[in-house]
Amino acid sequence: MGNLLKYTYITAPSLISSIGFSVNENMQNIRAYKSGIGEIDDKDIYNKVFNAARIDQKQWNLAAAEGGLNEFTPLEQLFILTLRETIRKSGINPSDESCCLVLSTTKGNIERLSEDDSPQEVLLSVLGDRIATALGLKNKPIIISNACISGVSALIVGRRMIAAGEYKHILVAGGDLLNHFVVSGFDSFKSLSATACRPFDQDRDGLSLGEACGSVLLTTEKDYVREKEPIVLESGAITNDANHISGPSRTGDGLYMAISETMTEAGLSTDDISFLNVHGTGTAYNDEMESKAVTWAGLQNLPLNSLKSYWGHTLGASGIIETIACMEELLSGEVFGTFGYKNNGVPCALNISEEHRSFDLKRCIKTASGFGGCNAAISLALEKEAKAIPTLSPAIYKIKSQCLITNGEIKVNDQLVFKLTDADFPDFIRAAYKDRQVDDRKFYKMDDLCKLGYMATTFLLTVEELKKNYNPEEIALIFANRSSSLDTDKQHQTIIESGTEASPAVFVYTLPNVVMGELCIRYGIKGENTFFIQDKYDETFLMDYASLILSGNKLKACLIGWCELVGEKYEARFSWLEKTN
Amino acid sequence: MTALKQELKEALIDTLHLEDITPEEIEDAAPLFGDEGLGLDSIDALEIILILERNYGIRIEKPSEGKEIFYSIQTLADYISEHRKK
Repeated sequence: MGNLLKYTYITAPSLISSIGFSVNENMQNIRAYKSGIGEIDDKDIYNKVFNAARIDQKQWNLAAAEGGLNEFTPLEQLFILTLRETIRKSGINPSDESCCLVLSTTKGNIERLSEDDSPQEVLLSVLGDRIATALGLKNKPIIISNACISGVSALIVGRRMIAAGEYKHILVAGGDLLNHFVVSGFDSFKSLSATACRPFDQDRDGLSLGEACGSVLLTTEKDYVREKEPIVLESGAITNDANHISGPSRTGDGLYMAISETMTEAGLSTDDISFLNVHGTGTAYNDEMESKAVTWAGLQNLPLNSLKSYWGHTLGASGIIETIACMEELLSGEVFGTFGYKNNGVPCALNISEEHRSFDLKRCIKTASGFGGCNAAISLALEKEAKAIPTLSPAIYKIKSQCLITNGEIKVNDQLVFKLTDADFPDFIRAAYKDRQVDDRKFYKMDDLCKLGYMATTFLLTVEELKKNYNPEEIALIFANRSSSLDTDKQHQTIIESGTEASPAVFVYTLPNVVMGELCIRYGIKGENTFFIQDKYDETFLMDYASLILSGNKLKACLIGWCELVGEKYEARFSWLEKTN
Repeated sequence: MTALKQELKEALIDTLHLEDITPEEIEDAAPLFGDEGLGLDSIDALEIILILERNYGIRIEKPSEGKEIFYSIQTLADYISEHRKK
């Protein structure tokens, strides 16, 4: 292992949500047991009355106007407002060459999408560029869209980039909005609570959505740290439970592995941890799964909370804003109560209270889980208790095989293996599937993006060989594309604009990382999954990142996948990498 | 009843993308869910709920209520003929 790393501090939090326009206002409202979830009757968002946590529109418009941000989309305004605050608080120079921005969002500016029009700003890379330009950043932002773990993933990716010495400072921000697209989709899953979510409670009846944006600075330099006691982002891990694209593992194995790897990376034992803040959406299966995973990790007696009943489930923002709450809790020595929690409703009872509680706190674990089977965990500690982590030095790997699919042709290691020109994508990919003689009835259920990624993978890996050569936890998937899930986003948008109920079988594919979820299920892969959004295929970035994650003790191979599809334009560039040192 | 069962099989094949399967191959009494039957999953169950609403005016609020109703084509057809509003 390499040299010991200087700590990666996490500092200068900033946050806009349904319960406030600053971190202080948010914390005051949580301390006063004030939830942002309420009834929303707004036909622009949904044709039914529903419950969710919405940002105050008047104050938002005022803040945007004062900030000179009227030409930006609503989500861009929130990102710029929160990031400006993090920059101001920390004193960082965003145009410094050693500073980069990592953004987390699931759906970005999706409310600008309509049946007839998909303007440039629905592309997450365009959103990222507009934010970076507004803030004067020199480096291109790194964008992560990995369902509900996006925020925690962004912190993990940011920390690793710092640990590898690529940047000294990384601004990390996460945001998502309430809109027709998202609300109709979650409603089609019958996962919305009739009132307000009650995480871990026996009467819980689903999740409540919310909108928010939060940002923090990760830095190696203490000069920019503003907290009275500096907080260190020690370690983090991402896994997949390879169970189902929309349902969490019944055993909690994926989340357990993420927690356990996070503890191993920082050399932690259960005694080192003071409390946990978990995903706690308030759906039957999520909370049940988490109770099993936390118990499996031996942490079931520690104080634990979910803050979803204050902020709602804020999707790409949740990992960031809940981490900000963890920072505040570590500093003030209190574990916030889980609002609405009355009686245990999960199979493995956890240490949860509706009331805020005071403890001597030194370290916490924050987790998240999401569609596509992904799970993530991080560890945050007060500096005086923090463990020093070795620096990351890139691993040596070999590119074992590559597959390219585009324009009716499939090439493996530059050799043409299948060709069907003059066919549209569905016919082409079906013909390729038949030609490969794969027998998987799930294939036809997938959206086109998943079919593309699935077929590219069949030319590089077989289930049998993979199982023979690797443990499920030893394989990672690092994917990227330009248009996220835009092709299926348009389908979902067309359905909801027509006035019919959203289709859950379509909505589930409106997250790009679900293609990795499908592959994890098919191949039994349980290692890291991260989905980046980039404006073009950047092989160097993806291979460099793969070599970073392969440098740890666990991962031994990585599938890199550029998987891009919109309408009749498609391109898959997949590479199978094996670690050699 | 036979016509309803045929109609259901066609609707399932179409909506749930059961390509390579013909209505004749779906046995009336065979389980729809789980590995031994058609291998449908929780997303399919939600889509079947939509089929019931759209085609037969039957509302099922919680997916868990559908477990026994959705067991097979036979149980589904029995439930629909008893509760259909259109």
